Amino acid sequence: MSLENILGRFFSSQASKEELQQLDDWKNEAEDNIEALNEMNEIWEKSNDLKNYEKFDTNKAWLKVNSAIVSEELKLPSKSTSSSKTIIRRLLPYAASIAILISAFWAYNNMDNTPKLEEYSSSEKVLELNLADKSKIVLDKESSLTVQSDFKNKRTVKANGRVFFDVSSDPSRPFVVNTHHGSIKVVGTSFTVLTTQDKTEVFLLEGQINFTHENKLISLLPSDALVIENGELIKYRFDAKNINSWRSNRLVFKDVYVTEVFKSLEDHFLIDIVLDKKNVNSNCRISSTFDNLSLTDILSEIDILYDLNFELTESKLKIKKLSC
Amino acid sequence: MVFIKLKLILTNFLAQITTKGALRGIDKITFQSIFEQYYNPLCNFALGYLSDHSKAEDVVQDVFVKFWMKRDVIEADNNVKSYLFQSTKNRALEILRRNKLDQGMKEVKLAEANKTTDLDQLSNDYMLKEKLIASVRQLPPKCQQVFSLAKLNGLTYVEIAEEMEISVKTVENQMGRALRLLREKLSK
Repeated sequence: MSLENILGRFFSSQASKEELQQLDDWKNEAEDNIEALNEMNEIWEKSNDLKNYEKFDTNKAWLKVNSAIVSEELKLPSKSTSSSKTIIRRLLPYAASIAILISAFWAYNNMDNTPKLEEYSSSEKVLELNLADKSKIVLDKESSLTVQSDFKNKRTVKANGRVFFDVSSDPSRPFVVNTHHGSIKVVGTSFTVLTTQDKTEVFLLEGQINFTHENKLISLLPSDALVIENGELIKYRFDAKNINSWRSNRLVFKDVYVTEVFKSLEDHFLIDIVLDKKNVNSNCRISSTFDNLSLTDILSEIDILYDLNFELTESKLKIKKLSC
Repeated sequence: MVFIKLKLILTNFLAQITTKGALRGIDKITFQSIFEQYYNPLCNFALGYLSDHSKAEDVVQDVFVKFWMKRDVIEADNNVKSYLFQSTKNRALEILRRNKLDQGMKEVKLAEANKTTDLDQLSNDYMLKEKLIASVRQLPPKCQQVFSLAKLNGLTYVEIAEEMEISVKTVENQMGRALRLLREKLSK
């Protein structure tokens, strides 16, 4: 009986007394043999876990990641200093416009003569767009924007989800944003719209907009916010500090009350936050900058600062206790 | 399709030329080798939370894109392995929370994740599995087949003997051989 046969039988617990004796003899032959047997035992045990271990297509994934990286880098301002700017770096923006041209051509070819509206939508990531009139649009995760006119005489779009607008000024071509509840007419300004089936909110940062809802016209000035929910329309002033945090993924708090912090988190992560008034000390203040962090990361940072107890479900965060 | 292909060719071309450009921190080649080393174990790790192949892959791909964008910020002495596993876990849990899958199932998974499992141990475990499976693939064909049938498919020696039309003795022999070869490969 060869040693390999004995090993095969030993690990499947089928070895006879004589075979075990033979294995023992072999073990005592050299110190390395004991170690080898232990290691083989580990391999035997560990490979039981391999049943559910899957093989993903690493090559295909690399191509995807690599192209994502390249397009991210195209979007970002070049990191290198201007002096070290290579020819390639200077050429990259042109390459990007070629890509856009190709995609425009593609869209054109797919039109089949029936005018098809352009639609932009984002899924897992925030998406930045530049429209034909140089207006800048930023779509939050899982939001969309439909262009509803040719932009020649008027500019009409439909928003869904959370969308930031920086509209280029052009009095001859008014810019109209249709929401789930009413429409917004602007000339040149920047604002954020959050619109779902249930609720529409508008936050104006600069300029002026006219909001039309059920034949009522409401004018908004900078730092004015408007919310329509359950058929009710409320206009109020908002704190502009963290209103764009979802775009920069950066939340800044300078000595503010925790209640205010949670309000910002509520807006930023689009989650309902409920405070247990009895056990949350609303006099606690927080100074911190959260850069690119997930909600759980932020909560664990707050937990380091203060004693925090919470419960997080899909759409709701319950703050059970906070003391400082 | 043509457009997608064109875009792919274009981006790959651009990727190649940017690699040659001056990049601080780790270079693209190093990044790619890290990617190749960690992608599969990380996907398996994420799959544990998400039970959905494409979601698991999306999570890991996002983690790598972020890793590349932040490569200048991530400190040199920061452990790449723990960074990648921690980010994958965070991202996977974030997706899991947003997921509209069965509530009961979700709670079980979240509770599991919240248990203070030692991430370091867990990541070592996944890396070992990856190494192990790579070594299994390098075994001689017969040896590999016997080992896979026994350990991956859970067949008994007698069943393997029937399946491969060889004697049980040969199965035992190949099994012992597989273990010795794997041990040699892994202890290197």
